[in-house]
Amino acid sequence: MNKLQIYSCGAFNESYINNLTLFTTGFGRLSLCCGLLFLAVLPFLCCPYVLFLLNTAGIYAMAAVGLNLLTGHTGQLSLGQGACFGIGAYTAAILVSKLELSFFLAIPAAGTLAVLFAIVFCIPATRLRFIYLAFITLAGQLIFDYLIKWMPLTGGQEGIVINESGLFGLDLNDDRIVYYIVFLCLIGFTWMAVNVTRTSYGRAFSALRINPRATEALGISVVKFRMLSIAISSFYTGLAGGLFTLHMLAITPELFNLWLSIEFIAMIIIGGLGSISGSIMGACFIVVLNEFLVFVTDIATKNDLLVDSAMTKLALREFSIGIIIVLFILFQPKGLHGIWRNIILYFRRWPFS
Amino acid sequence: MELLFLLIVDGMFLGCLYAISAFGFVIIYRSTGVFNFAHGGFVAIGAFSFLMLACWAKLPLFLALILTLLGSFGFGYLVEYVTLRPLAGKPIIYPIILTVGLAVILKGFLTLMTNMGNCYTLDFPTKFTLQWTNLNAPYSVLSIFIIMLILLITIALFIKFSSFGIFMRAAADNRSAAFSLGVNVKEMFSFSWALAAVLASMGGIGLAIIKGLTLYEIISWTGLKVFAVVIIGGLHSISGVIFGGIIIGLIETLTGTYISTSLGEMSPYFCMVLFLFFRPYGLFMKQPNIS
Repeated sequence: MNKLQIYSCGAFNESYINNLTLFTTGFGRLSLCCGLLFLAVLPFLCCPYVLFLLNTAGIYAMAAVGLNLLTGHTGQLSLGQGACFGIGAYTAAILVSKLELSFFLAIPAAGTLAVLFAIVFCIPATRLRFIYLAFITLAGQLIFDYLIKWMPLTGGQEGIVINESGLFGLDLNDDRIVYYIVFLCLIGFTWMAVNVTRTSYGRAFSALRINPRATEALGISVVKFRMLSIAISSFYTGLAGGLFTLHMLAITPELFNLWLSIEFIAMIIIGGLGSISGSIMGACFIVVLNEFLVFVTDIATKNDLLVDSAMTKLALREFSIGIIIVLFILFQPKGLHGIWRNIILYFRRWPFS
Repeated sequence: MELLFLLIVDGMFLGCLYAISAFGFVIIYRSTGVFNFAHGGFVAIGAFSFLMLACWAKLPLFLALILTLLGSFGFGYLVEYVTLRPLAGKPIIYPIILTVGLAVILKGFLTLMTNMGNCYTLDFPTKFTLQWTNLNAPYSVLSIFIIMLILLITIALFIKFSSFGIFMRAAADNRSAAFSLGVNVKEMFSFSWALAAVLASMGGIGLAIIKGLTLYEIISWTGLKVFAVVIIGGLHSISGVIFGGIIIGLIETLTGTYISTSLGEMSPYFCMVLFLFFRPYGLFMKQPNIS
């Protein structure tokens, strides 16, 4: 079935089963193993600052993979992904700090609660045109922002700080432990997302994006599969929110506003709509960009070019991420994944490219 | 009782301003099929440039109004020409996400502008207060509202009766049929974006005057209320927008006064969610359409 060869030029898909395989050549499998090995030794190679960024990027990447299943595959735009992330983060934080549960239970609970909220909230949108989901999630995001600041359970503006930080006797203040937890989750759930996209569910999602009416005529329930897509993506995002609590150990309401939703959308646009690997690249891109902008604003404030540092940082982030979204859509709609594919194809077809 | 009456008048006035900006949103949706998430940004940019011209450059109000409207016409045209025209024929999700990007750019741009200069608390000097017994407003401000009303009627008549307006509606109705009959569909799309930007900035100017907004308040996501108005009125319906605007304006003012200001700011979104649950196509639309 899998030929052991480096180039994919001789590997033809002779049956439908062949079409579903993940790797056309043994080389792909080998490079995946090398990549995983590299990820396993990475925390011992880099400094704590880079490790912190890697953890953040991994958590965002998980949420972006979930959003890409919803937006890239099912074609439903969601502007409430930040609220989903926030529900996950707050659930985990409340369960751990108030009920003194272990993170091992709190993180799956975070994902589950996010799914419940998303499903109850999005019931009307599944029956309507795709854009209504964007409207209702936008409203949900704004209501979430409001409620989370005024509810006594969530600690108001101060947020929640977690003192107890242990998981099976492991010290969660050590970023390496967090790294392994985050990346095990990321790899596992990315694998699941890949499997979803290449099986009948993923095909149903794509069909829904392209023509809902024809899909309904083929016997695939539009409402059921849209709901399923919303549920899967909000589970990913809620779980990522729970991991975010594990990573940060202190959360405030400002972290989960509308801006976070837009950042998630930027991630999947930069990575490329409908591409799983692209969403991971997009998440890394956004994290690096944010750090770069912090660096730029620091220089600008030191030279008295800009007045108020905190405000300017936010404005600069908004401005630059907006510009990046627009430029990517106009000039590279397939995103970083498209660029990567072009490079690979260039080498593969080398003398003729 | 007197307070209630005042609040109702105030809310209806506010609602009319929301309706004017939402009218622009509906024009864009009906003619090009794109949901303009940057419409709030258009409102904010209209209000911003009007305040800059009136308070910072100290131009007469009439001149400031005309310059702002001309500028926003050009701005809307340019936005369509540069960003949306290349996307014709792509899946509809790309232009929609692009407008989300535009909204973020506009918001970031306005925040940067307020940080660069000393216009942090640019406030309209002659505050316009509506009272039960006497209308306490300078004539210049009052004349602005009258001019805007005349403009609005002109635009409505223009769309209804002029040949250009008929071309526009034809392009909105069936773009390939209109194209084959010789309508320049691309120009019509640009023109409807420009018109929508003008309407949005008219709403923004009104808001800037009536609320005496500081810039920072304009920049915050005030413009998002447009979506609540549009959902209540129905995405297609122009007359629905007026009702939606008035309902939202009344609810916002009454909740803001009687319960709490922050809840008043949020009430349009609660309203929007309720409508999406129970009457998703708005007050006046009936067609169930799942695509």
